Amino acid sequence: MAAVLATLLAVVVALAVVLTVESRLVRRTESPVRRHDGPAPDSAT
Amino acid sequence: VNPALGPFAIVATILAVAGASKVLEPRDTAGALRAMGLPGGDRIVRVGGAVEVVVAAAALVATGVVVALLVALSYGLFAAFIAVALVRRLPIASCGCVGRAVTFPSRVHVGLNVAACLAALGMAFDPSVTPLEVVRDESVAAVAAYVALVVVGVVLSFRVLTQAPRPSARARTAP
Repeated sequence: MAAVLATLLAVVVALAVVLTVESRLVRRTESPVRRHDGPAPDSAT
Repeated sequence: VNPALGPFAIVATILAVAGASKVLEPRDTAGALRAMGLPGGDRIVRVGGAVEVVVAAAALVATGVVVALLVALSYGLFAAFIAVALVRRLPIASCGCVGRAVTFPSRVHVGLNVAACLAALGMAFDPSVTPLEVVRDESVAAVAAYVALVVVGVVLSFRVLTQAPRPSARARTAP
């Protein structure tokens, strides 16, 4: 059972990583202002 | 115990949910099939969804070589369908893999289906213990952890599928 739980945990972590990367991709592709203009003016604060 | 059993429990549960979604909301899947030039009536999609539910239920309670191979075949077909849609740049708003929920065809989607196919193939090598049998005689904590990880895996998989970038957004950023 320990091996099964370990494999499941590995799969869940891998899915979480994919989801995180995908979210960043979605944000980047759907916000062209940020992509072309660099950091927002108030980001320095 | 087969190490593929955990991932197999996740992919079988996803297959059950996806099949039930198609039975309840066949329209998007039917549209995707028609866009591909395949017969895509609501009735055909509902029958296909019902078959998915039956295969998934069998996979969870009575896994055997044939059932594991059927699960692998299902995901192999899904992966091939989405790959062809991507290569042909078909204007499919949603592949209908999970019924009503919008799931744009994407490389991640193909990858997830291929991984699910491999998990089912791995299970076919040693299907002696089913996803339900594995919790027999285990402690409550172990069963709770197992169920929780399977549920989280299913939820994350659906989030990955439904959060893929819109094809139009990808097109805008293409060189």
